[in-house]
Amino acid sequence: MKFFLSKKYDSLASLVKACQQQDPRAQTVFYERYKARMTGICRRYARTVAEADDIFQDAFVKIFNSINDLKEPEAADGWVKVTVIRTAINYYNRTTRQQELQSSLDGVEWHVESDDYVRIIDQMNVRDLVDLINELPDKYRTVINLHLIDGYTHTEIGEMLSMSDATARSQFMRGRNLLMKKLELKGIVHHENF
Amino acid sequence: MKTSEDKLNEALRDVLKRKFDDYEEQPSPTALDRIRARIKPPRTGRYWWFTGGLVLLTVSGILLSRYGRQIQASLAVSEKAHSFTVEKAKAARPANANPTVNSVKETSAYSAKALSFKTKVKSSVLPSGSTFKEDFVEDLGNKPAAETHQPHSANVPGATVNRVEKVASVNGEQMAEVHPGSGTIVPEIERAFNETEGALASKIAVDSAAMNAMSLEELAGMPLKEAQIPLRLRGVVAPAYKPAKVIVTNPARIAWLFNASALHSYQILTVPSSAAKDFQNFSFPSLFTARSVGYKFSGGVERKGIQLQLHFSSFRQIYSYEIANNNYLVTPDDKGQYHTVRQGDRMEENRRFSMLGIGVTKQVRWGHSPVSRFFAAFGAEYSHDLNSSQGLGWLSLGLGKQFAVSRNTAFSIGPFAEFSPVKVKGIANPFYYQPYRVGISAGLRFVRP
Repeated sequence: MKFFLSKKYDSLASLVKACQQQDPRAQTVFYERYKARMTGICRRYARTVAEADDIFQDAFVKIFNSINDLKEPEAADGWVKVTVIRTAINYYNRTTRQQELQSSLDGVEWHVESDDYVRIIDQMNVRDLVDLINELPDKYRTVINLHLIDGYTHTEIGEMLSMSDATARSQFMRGRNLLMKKLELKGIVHHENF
Repeated sequence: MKTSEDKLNEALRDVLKRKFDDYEEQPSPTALDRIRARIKPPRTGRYWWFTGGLVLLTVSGILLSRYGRQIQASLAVSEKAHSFTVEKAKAARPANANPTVNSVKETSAYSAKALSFKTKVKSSVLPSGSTFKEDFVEDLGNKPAAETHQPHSANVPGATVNRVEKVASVNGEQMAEVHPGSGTIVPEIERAFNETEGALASKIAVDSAAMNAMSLEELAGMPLKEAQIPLRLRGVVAPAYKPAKVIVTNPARIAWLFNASALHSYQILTVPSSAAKDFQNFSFPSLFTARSVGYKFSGGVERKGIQLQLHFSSFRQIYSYEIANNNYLVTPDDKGQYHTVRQGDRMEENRRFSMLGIGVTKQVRWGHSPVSRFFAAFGAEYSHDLNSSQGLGWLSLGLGKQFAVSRNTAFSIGPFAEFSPVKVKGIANPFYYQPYRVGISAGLRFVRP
């Protein structure tokens, strides 16, 4: 987390309180504090960079307009992250039509060990990895992000996406398999480059 | 016992979390400006705006009040007439008058003459006949008894309230009221004088007995005004004044206004041709639905039919539309003909306006009934939306009727409509709106006591 840009706000609590009073300077400091990490989250959840920018702006508008609801200023880090994630979920619920979740790769068997996926991921550039995740259909991408990266349980994901635990688990499994197949293809390409 | 699936998930989670733990990207350089344009305005500005409105209202009230006093000062000839009456009574008294019963009668006669003369003077400086009518009808229940020296209903065509001559009180002294221009005391006052004459004479006789014991020098040195009989002893008991329940529309006085309105909101929506997307299938609420009903509260002052008011209103703008996408649905109809329908993503708009405004209204009243009046009001208003910081101008029209509630209070009710000639831009869409509102308004009007 970045250092505070202003000595005036020497703690997160004072910065949040200043934002709650709609102090423009505090809002700037608050924005600078979170912009890079939250943009990264938006890139993971979005399909394109342009959509990530839209989600990012929507999220910060929501954050600044509802920051008075934050009763514990010390918990701002988690609150901001959750707000961004929920904004991303709502963005795709609102703007994208139902996608065809079946993929031609679904029925393909794979014979790569789990260690190989770890190795492939480790070797990949993080932006390439983001691009790979972005290629997943919206719901798979969302579930993969929520469960594998942001650590939500299937129950929590079911509540966030208005679906049952079983459906959330099922979608995760299908999304994970699709991601692994894409990783496998990436790995092959990677080997071929040598 | 962990399955191979669980192990695979954990391995993937570990590596992905590690990979994205410090993942950061830079947003668009213009993102902060765009965010600022969409967030709520600073609260301090809102309070300053409201405070400014209150200050403006207060200053306007003070100025109107001072201006009203100047008008009253110009009409102060009647007060001079009162002073002239007293002086005239003093001058008419013999310098060496003895304080006897006879002199009491004389003094009473002098006072009566003086009062008659006073009334003549006042009548000569009163405004023209049209002002007579206005003062009589509008000031009837409002003015104190001391100021009711206007012509009675017999002099005003169309007036229905009869205010007969009576005894009024001025500065603690009782004074007989007479018909303007008549120059004579009314019979009731003469009877009152006769009734009190005996009691007054006995008191003076006691005083004169005491003075007989005084030397002539002491009597000569006694100031004449001490021998004057106080005016209060000459008067008669005033009958209890019961103000009539009449409509009070005295335009020269400041009136305080409080109004509440329930208004149904509609809108003229403009889709700019420069919009990059195609919009279709707009859906608006039905003509009469509670979802589109808003309210408006107003408070302010009025003088001479000009009303200056602060307004707070709230209403919702609800509709939905579709952003057309590139999917087309081909469906056959009953006749076997195929129709192509472009699909779209449905967007819901539910915007709340909370507006604080200030406005000026001209109200015109008419009617002859002493207990009710018709009115029409035309106004202009500027409102500031507290949620989006956007400004709106309004033109308003109100009609209705006012009813007297008490001596100083009138209740008004009637239809009300307002229209914004200014287009306001949508927040999350490229549309422009011109809202208009129709409903019913009710209010109270208090004339300053």
